[in-house]
Amino acid sequence: MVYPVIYFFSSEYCSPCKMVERMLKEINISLFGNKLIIEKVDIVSDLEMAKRYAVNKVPTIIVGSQRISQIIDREELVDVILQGFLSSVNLP
Amino acid sequence: MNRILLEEILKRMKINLENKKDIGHLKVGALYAIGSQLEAIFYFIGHELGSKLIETSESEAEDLPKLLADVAEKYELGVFNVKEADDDHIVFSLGNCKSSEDIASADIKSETMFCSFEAGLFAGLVEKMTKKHCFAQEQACKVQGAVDECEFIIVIPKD
Repeated sequence: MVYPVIYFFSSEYCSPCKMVERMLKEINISLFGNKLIIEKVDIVSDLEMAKRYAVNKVPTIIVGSQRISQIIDREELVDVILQGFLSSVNLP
Repeated sequence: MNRILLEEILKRMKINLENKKDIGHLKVGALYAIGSQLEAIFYFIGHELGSKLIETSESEAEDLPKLLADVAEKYELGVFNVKEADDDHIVFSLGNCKSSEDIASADIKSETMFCSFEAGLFAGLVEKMTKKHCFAQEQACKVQGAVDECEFIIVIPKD
């Protein structure tokens, strides 16, 4: 069973990214006990990753087969994280 | 995520606890309802259950450690022993902790901790009681072999 990493695509000068980053940290601590594995990707310095995941806008969060971009709501983000985990489970 | 299934499992967990029945198999079912990334997911499930387990009227109570001990006893979550308590944190051990009990008794030793479900559960309970976003962390697990009872800390943010 492969556990998907949460990819958080952002850029230094994107102010919504900072808000989403705070939200992601808060969700991780309050709902997931700070145990989520989150990888922050700067789309300017890591263009290869942005291309590989076809990210052309920020903030974008990708979890397994799930993705969410730009206007990111807390509840929606929690659902995307949980659905992303579900997408990694292969039921017999 | 199958949210309907998860809600059903949480409901059944609550019923089982009220009837003093085991919920171990239901945790596995909940895992399938959500997906994986075990520690985070078990914390999430514990947190959701903790926030549904008690009524909001209990939120006005002041003696948090005693309330938690009462809830632990009522639902047979384990033997709750408070080691340190302040306005901003509670340190406690949990004897017969459900997540580690069977594994530890089978002489299995592990570097990782097994009880993020209980950490989330007590965080959810304290959150419901205080109406503040709390964070709990297992500090030592019986499965690691160094302690006889699992130990946790709950951090309560100040106003």
